[in-house]
Order: sequence, then C-alpha cells, then structure tokens
Amino acid sequence: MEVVLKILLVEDEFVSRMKLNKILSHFGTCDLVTTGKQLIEAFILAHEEGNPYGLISVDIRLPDMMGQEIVQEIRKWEKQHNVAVQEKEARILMVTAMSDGKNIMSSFKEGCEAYVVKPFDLDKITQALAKINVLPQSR
Amino acid sequence: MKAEQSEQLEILRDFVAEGREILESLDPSLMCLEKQLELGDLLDRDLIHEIFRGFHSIKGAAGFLELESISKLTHEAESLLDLFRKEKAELLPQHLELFYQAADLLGRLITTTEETLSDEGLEVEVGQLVNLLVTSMPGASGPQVPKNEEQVEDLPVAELNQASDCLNTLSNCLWACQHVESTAKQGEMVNRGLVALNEGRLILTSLRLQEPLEVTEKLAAQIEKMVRDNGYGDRNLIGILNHLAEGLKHTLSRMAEGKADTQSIPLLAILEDLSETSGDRLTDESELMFGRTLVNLGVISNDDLDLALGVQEKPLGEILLDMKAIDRDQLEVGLKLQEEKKKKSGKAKSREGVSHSIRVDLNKLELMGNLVGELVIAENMVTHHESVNGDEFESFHKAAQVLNRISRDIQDLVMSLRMVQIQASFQKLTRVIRDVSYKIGKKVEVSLAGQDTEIDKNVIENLSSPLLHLVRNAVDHGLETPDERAAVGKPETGRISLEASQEGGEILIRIRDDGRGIDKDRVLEKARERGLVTADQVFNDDQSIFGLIFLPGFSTAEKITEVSGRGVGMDVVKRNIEDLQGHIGIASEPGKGTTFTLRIPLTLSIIEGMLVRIGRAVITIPLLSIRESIVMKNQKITQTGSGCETIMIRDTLIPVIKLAEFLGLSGDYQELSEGVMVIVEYGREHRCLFVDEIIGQRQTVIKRVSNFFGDLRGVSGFSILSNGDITLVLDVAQVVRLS
Repeated sequence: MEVVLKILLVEDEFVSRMKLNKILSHFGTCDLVTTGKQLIEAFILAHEEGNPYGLISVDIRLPDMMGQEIVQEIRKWEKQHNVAVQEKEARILMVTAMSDGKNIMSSFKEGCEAYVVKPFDLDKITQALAKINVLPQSR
Repeated sequence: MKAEQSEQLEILRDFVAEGREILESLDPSLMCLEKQLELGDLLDRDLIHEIFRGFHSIKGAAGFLELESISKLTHEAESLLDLFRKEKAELLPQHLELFYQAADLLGRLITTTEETLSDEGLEVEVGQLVNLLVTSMPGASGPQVPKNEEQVEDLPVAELNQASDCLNTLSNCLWACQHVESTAKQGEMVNRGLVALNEGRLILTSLRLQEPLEVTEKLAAQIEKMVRDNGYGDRNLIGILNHLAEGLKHTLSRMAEGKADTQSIPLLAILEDLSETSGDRLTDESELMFGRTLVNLGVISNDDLDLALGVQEKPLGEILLDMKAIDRDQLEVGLKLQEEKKKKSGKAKSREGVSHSIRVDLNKLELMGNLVGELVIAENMVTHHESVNGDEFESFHKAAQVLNRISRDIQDLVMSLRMVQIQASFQKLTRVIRDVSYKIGKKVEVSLAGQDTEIDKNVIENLSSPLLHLVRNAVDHGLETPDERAAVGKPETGRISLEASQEGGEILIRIRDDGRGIDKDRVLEKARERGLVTADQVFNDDQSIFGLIFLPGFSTAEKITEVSGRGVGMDVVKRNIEDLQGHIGIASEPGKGTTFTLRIPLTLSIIEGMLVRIGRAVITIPLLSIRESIVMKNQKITQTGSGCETIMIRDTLIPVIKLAEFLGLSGDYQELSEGVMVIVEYGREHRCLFVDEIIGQRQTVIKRVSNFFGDLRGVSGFSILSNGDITLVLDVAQVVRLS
C-alpha cells in the first residue's frame, strides 16, 4: 500500500496556483486555498479528521496574512497539540517572490523547511523537496 | 549577475547574524536542561523543542544556501534531538555534551562562512562529530533492553557496533570526498574509507553474517573500481555509495540492539529482488530513498539516473504545454486577480514590519557617538562663548539651556544605544565554567546576579578576555577537587558567583569562589623564587602580597594544566583592565574563597570632569576619582623625613602632590595655603592635588593620546574646551602610583 502524500497549497494568484498545483501533483494530492485564513482552517480540519497534511506550500505575500505568520501559527498549533510525538508535523515549503535575506531567514526561523524563489518550475521545486526527502510519487 | 551576487551576499550575511543569534540562545537552554538532568527533575519538553527548532532553522537555511557541512551537522543533531522530543528515548548527559560540541562547531562553521562565504574547511571535524552524533543515537548502542525478547542467538553486540563504526567512518570519508576539491585529497579520503571498510569486512567475516557481508563486498568492489578509474569526480556515485554505507551501518547497529535479525534486513530483500522497491517493508522514507539508491547500485547506476532524470523532465514539458493551453479567458481572470493583488499589496506591506528591532552596523553607532561628542563640544563652545558671557542676554541663556538639555539627552540616548546587557557575557562565562570543570573533574554551581546591568559594547568586548581568564582561574586554581572539599567539610560542589552592578559611573563586576583562597606564604615564596621581589622585602598588608599575582611572569600553578597556568595571564588581565581605565581588586580568605572585584567605567569616551587651573594651563580631573576639594585654612601641614608634605584631614595623613611640579608647569602659588586642594582617590590611596583654582565642572569627550607623544606622565588624554583650548585629562591612577 503506497501512502499518498497530502499537500495543501495557498496561492492567491490564479496562474501561479494552477502551475503550483500541477507541479506539486507529482508529489501527492493537492488541496488548494487562496488565503492564509483558509489555509489554517484546512490545516486544523485535516488534523481533526485524523488525516493531516504532510506538505504545506505557503506564499509570503497573501492578501490577509504574511507567510511567516502562517508558519508561526501552524507550528504553534502543532506544538500545543503535541503533534511531534505522533510524527505528523507538516513540512512547509515557501514559494515566494521575496528573495531578500530578511524574508528568507525569518521564514526558516519560524520553522519552514524549504524555500523556493519565484519564478519556479518543476526542477526548482523538485530540488527543494528532495532536500527534505519528499520525492515524486511513483505511479 | 552582479546584482544576484550581492543579493546572495546579503542573504549569507543575514544567515550569519541569524545563526549566531540562534546559537546564543542554545547555550542557556542546554544548560537549563543539564541542570534539570542533574537534579533528576522532569525534563522541560519545551526546552528540547526549542533546541530542536534552533537546529532545524539553521538546517533549513543552510540547505537553502547549500552550506553542506552546516546542513549535515544540524541534520544529525536534529535527528538525535527528534528522538528526545518525541519521547522515544531518554536524554543522557553525554548527549547534551554532544549538543554543546555541535553548537560550538556550528559557531566555527558560521564564522568560516562569514569570512570565506562558504563553510568548507572543517570537514574532518564535522565528520567526527557527525560520527559521534550518529553512534550515540539511542538504539545504536544504548543501554536499553532489546524489545525483541525471543532472540534466537546472542549476537556479538560489541563486534557489530565496531563494524557499524567502520562503516560510519567510511560514510564520513565518502562524504568528505564529495566536498573537497583536490583529487589528491579525494583519493586520500576514499582510501581511508576503504581501509575502514576492509576492517568492517573482516569483522563481518568473523561473525559469519552472510547478508551484510555480501553488501559489504559489493560496496568494496564498487569503491575499488572507482579508485582504479580514478573517478572521484562522480559525486552521484559517491553519494550512492555513501547511502549504501549508511544503510548498512544502521542495519548493523539495529542488529546489535537485537531489533532486527538478519531475516528482516531490507538490504537482503533488495539484493534478492532488485527491480522492486519493496515499499511495504520500507515504510520509513529514508529507507525508501536508501532502497532506491540500492536499486541504482544493483543495476547500472547511470541508467537509472537517466531514468530518474527523465521522470523529472517529462512533466516539465507537460507543464509548458499546459501553460500554452491556458485560454484567453483564464488569462484575463488571472490578470484581474493580479491587479487586485497589487492594490492589496499596499496593505500587506504595512505588515512587513513584524520585528520591532533592526540591526545596525556598530561602525555607524560609533560614528554617531563621535559626532554627538563633537556636538556636545560645539554646544559648549556656543553657550560658553566669551562674547555672550554675562547677564545681559537672559533670553539667550534660556535658549542655550534648552540646547544644552537636548544635546545631553541625545548624548544619553546614543550612549544607551551602545549599551548591552552583561547577560550574554555571563552566559558565555557560565558555559566556560561548565566546560572547564567538566574537563578537570570538579563540581561547580554557578550563580549569577545583576545580569541586566548594562555596559558599553566596546567595554564589554575588551572585558571578555580578562573575565574569561579570571573565571578559568577560579575553577582551576580557586576551587578544590571534590575530595579535598569533602576532607575540609565543605560541600563537594563548589560555588562560583558572577555579579554585576552599577555604582555611579562605574560597573562593578565580582567573581567570587568559595575555594581554598590565596595562600599568602606561597605567593610570597614564589615571587621570591622567581626574583620578582628581593628576599628582604617586607610586606605587612595582604593587598600588596595579592598584588604580586599581577606581576609579569608570576604563576603559582605547580603543574601547567590545559586550562590555565602558563605564567602569562594575571599581568595581562590587569593590563587589559587598566586599558579600560578600570581597576581590579582581590579579597581572599584562606579556606573560604577569593573574590576578584573589577571596577570599570561605564563608557570610555565621555567623562564628567572637574576643570582646574594651574598657571595658564587647564587640567581636567575625572570627577569619579575626586572625593572632596578644600581650601587650606588651619589644617596641619607636616613635613616628612623625605621632604614630602602631608596634611592631616579628619585624622588621616594625606600626601600632597603639587600638580604644577608633577606636570612641569609653573603655577601661581607656591604656598599650600594660597591655592586649592583637590583630594583624589585611587584604590584605597588618597592624594591631595595642589592646584591654583577650580574653574568648574564639564562633561568632556576624551581624545586618546596618540602614540607619537611618547610616554606622557600622568595624562590619559586630551579634550577640547568650549573656547577651543586644549585641556589635559589627568590619569589619577598614574599620578598616585608615580608619586
């Protein structure tokens, strides 16, 4: 039985969202949301249903939240609910146009695992995900 | 291209700063854990979590920046911590020690990164520590009882671990080989790895473990082939071999633990059926990856690699196709969305100021400090200008007062910007105490007080080395060994306390230990032995005997230890502190302990001074050292035998120094009753300085004496007066000593 990776991605811009969906689908099944709030709701809901997301892709500049805030919220929730013990912590991928040191370092500080600077393509995403041991799903 | 480079540089700089910050926060957390461990308290899981997150953040960022050594080290530290975080294993003191080492090595790696923009150069150290981290994973050779109780045969645990160590060495060598540039070094690494592998092979042969042996031999054959072809450049191949070695190592250590008998080794399954990844047995992801690499090795590696690359490339083509296939409507919707986003981005921007502090280059602060210093002088020049001195400009004086107040406020503010809490330094010292005591087998409890005392950044930087020295001495020489302590009825654990406080314009730092105290006789004996004092010199007070410790070339340590005692030190400590215009004092009681007290001025650049006149010269005396000023009336002047005059003030005799004579100036008055006496204090000594007149009190910015003046007796610097004249700043310490 192959376990399919559950992926949640947030991206407010249509084209990027479609493109990211296409690319991330190589790694698992994707759910799409467009705001930070929706993302956090979906994240918590998945946990409550006992089937949390393994990978979450976040954009830094969203209409309602900063990407770093989202990561912070997720990590806080995981810590409060002791997710680590069940080995169900999500891995977080930042996909963003922000390429300055401050943004990158603060993202890692809040606890994301990988960072991809836009424009992205399959290669870039694959490289970033390979570093954190997320591999393309074999059919 | 250039812009990209400078961007990369900026990111690296941010990484270095961020990394340092994280590392600094690691030490206190580790020490806190250590204390809990010692006391047998319940471990604070939040702390473990915090440390884990610290390593995790560095790892993530290092991965992004492709700093391989840092990634690898943080990865292993993080994996080990993960076990404790998930309560899968018990944290032991030796693990903490490893985390300390990891934090230290990371510090070095980050410094290397800062200097060379890459983290290369410490591969060997990283390899060793990674090795230790991996082998200390509970399960590798932990004290736990194997869960699988129906062990058919007793597996020789020691040998298995040995073999696993060999493979670990191999893996590290291979890893190093991947990351050094020169072929010669690569060859050296591979050969070293091969030696280790052969050693492991011998052990496995003696154990008659068929399956691991098979893999080992395959591995050896591959490496030998690589050596023959001299193909160290193929990083992929080396990477695959490395994975194989690591996998085998884990299997062996699992076997050593009794958790896996030979039948369940995934290696075997893979060797038997190369075309299948046997996913159900390899649930763990890292094992899955390992399985893949094995497949690669088993078949011809390049083929599979191409295949894998093909898998990646094909969807990319699909994407491009899809991108073209997007119809106009969708594109328009997308554009609209983008426009909307642009409108909203203004809102998002305001949120970017997440943090409330910014980093500022220290040089800029320094520059600002200097400018403010000049501002204060300029303000003085204007408000005390001779053409406005007088009562007729009342409103001018009011305005001048406002200006004066504001410039003082600015000055205070700038000073406070440069102030940092002493806490960070104290924490470093605590860490040093811990390391040193660990090394020499003494038990020490450290207590801190007044960590929030603030001190000028420059001062604290210059203070760190003398403090370090004093603290090391306290542990090494001051405290007795646990046995000695028990013998004299003291608790086995020694105490060292670090205290800081502010008194007036000075910072007081005390380093107190409850050790054996300074043996005055020994000190005297040693000083005579080394010819530092003559045999007939008599010392009748403790202070002057303790003072001998600060003489160059003095060391009482019987044997030179790794920690301290090379005979350089205390004199350097004293010089360092005097460079800061500070003072160091000793108090010691045999059997009860020693206290070093440092008095350091809050800042080096601005002082409150009293201006006095001698003839036509104006001298500034630092206000801190002035106790009182008197006009001679009927105090008694006594002439001592050596021709020195002393006056009696409140039952103490104080020697008089005629500053005019001392500095080679010509004063207005010769008779002591005509001028003014300024009584200054240095340490415990008092002197009366005889001057012509007191002008007033000013805050002045000191300019240091340049070297080309040579040795200036009794002068610590210069300052510019409001009228543009230059005043000498008196070095009271030197005046007292030289008189």
